[in-house]
Amino acid sequence: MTRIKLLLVLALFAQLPDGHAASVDSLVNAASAAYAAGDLGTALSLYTRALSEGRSAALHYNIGNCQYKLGDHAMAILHYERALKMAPGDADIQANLELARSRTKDRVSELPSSQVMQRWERFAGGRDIDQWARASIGFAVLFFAMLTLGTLLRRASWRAAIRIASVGAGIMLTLSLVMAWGRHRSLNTHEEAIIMAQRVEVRSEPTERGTVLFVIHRGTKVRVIQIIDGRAEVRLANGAQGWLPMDQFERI
Amino acid sequence: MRVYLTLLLLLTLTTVRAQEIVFNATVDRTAIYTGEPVQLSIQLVNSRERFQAPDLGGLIIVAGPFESSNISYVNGRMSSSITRTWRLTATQPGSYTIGPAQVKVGGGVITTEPITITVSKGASAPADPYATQGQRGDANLFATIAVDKSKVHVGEQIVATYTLYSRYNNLELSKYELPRMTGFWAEEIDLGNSGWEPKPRQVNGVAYNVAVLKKQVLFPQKSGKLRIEPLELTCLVNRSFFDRGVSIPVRSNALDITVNDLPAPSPADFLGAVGSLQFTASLDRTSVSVNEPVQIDLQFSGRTNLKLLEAPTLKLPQDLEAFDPRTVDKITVNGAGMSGSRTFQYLLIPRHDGQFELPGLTFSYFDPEKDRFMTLSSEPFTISVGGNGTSGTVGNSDPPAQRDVQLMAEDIRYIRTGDLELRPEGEDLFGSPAFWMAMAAPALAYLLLLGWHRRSAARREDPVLQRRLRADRTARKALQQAELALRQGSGAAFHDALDHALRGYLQDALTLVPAQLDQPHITAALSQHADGPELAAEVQRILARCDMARFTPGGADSDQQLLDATGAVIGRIERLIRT
Repeated sequence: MTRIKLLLVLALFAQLPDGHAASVDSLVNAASAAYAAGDLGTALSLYTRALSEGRSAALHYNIGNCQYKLGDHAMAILHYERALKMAPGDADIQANLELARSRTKDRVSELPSSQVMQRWERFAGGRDIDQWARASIGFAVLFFAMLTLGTLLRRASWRAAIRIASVGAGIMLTLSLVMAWGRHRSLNTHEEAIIMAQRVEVRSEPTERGTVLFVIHRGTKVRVIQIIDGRAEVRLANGAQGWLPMDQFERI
Repeated sequence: MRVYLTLLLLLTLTTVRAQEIVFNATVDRTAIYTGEPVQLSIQLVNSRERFQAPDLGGLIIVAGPFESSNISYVNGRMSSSITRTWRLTATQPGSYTIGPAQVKVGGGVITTEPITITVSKGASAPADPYATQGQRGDANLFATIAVDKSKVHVGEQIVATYTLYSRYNNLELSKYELPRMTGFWAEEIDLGNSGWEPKPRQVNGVAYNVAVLKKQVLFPQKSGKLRIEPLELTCLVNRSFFDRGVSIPVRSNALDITVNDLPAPSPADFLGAVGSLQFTASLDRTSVSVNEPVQIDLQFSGRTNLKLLEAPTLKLPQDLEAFDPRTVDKITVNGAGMSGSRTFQYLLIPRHDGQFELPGLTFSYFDPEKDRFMTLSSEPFTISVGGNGTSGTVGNSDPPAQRDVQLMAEDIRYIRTGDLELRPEGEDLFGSPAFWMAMAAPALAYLLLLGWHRRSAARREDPVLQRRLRADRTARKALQQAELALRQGSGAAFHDALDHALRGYLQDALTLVPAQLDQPHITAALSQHADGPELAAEVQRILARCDMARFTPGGADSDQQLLDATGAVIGRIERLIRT
């Protein structure tokens, strides 16, 4: 049964690229041409259509650029954040995100990412989403190959050397598995969100009766902690915490 | 001619009856050109009654009335006459009728005959149409707004003149309201300390005291029909120490100006100027040292709205710093409009040595007379900038002034183009079945290998198993020796070797001890197999043959047959125990 499923998946993979890729490519090319010509509305709608075919950091980045140029800085931030999630540490995305954030009303002191941090994020994020998964497979093969070699080799000195190497491979395997898991988790959880309403009162309770603790505006980033009765408890980068209606933000 | 005749007749009558009252009107001519005067005289003889001017039928009084009276005694009889004279004129050609004048004498009324005057268009230059129009409203006091052009382009200058015409001797302005107008940029013309013009101005033959109240240069700022509302004044006339005077409101004409758009599209370097314009660019010097200023002057001169001219931005090479330009105006606004020059002085400071190319500048303006855009251009300049002048003293010279690269503006970085590496959602490799399979495969392979390895090690360590496994090979070797012995023709050795090979094989393969190599044991060992007994019998036969051959060489089979039979039986047993 599983074998049939796998074959089906493989067949889909084999078939998809031609027609699918060609249409998306032409869509993206048309959008880029429209952007270059200054027709931002068209570029935005074309990129958004391409989004239904698949996702990529570059696509979200381009959409963010369109939104920014059209003056919707909150939407630009949302797409830059999504792009950054897929390509952590990307310098272009971070530069534009920084600029878009500076256009919003709220200034929430957020730690600017340092060069070292950026490099770590780029490393942890990998060149693409599957990098750590592929590395895990590679290290698994290497690790077990070394174990095998260690079993088969007759000479004791070689066996010892191989064993040390296999410990190294095991460590690398564990590391890549952890990285891949972290990446998978960060891509598949949507805890962070961007405020989309022009003005939101954040209350102390998940009801209308709660005291208004502070007011945030469109484009501010929050972390969603929990949700009760259509209201979300959120936390700002500076630690401020409170409740606001769920329909006021868009998850990254 | 008839009038003359009547006049003559009347004159003769008066002489006949001296005391008779005579009342008549005369004109010096009955046909005039527009603007020419005609004299109307009305004479009343032998009465001292007052009389008024008749209806003039549209003719304008230029002067008068002048009154003369005459009393004479002839033969003791007194006769008197009063003559009132007016000088009249007409501004428009046509036929005018002076109505009858009336005077009450005794109980009755005497009237004069009406007189018709024919006015034809004068050969002289036509009078100011605005004044003519105003004169028609009130011949004694009127105001006009006059413009030099009523059909212009946007930005083209118009000179508007506000004039007051008066025939009163004593006039004072009491209220003075400037006309409202929208869509114009107005510039006052300084008239100095002007009052009434020293010489009266003739309007259609009528003399007026004229005062130019105001002059403006107007620049229409939008296209369409722009209206200048009438000028409204209130004048006090005949004011004296005793008299407060008569207040007369005066309302001038309104004006409609047709403003046309400039032809589209306007050139990119259009300055916004409409009119005539010249342009010169000059550089005060072309060779300087680093950090020494150079001044570039852009002078625009001509007849246009120079005050609205904005400083053009210079496209300067890098390392040539420019300060905001200074504007020097020499603009005069007079009756001819606005003219003069505006000069933009840019101070450039080269921050680096070398040759700097200032590209030639081009600007456009609109010439309404030619009805098209005209282009002004200047030659390119080259500024050669030397070192900082202190080359003689090596080591003493300052290093060239360095500046940080200045960030002029911030903007987002450009989009990604090319392959955006789109991937369908939720198709991460991590966590997918393929991923886990790929992870499990090497582990599984390793475990399989490990199992196999363990088994083979265990086998290696089992001597019985080893012997059994090696039984065939050992037996074949022994058979080869037997064959060797057979070739050498040593029958005893052959049989010994053959016997040894078969017995050794049976011990190894069936795990028997030498004492068990008899029929029942061998049969028992092979009993699991169908051909067991047959094979046991064959083995027994071969062993018996070998034994026998020791004592009685030659038998039922040849030695070669015996060797082959042994090989065959070993092969068959091997096949049996392997399966």
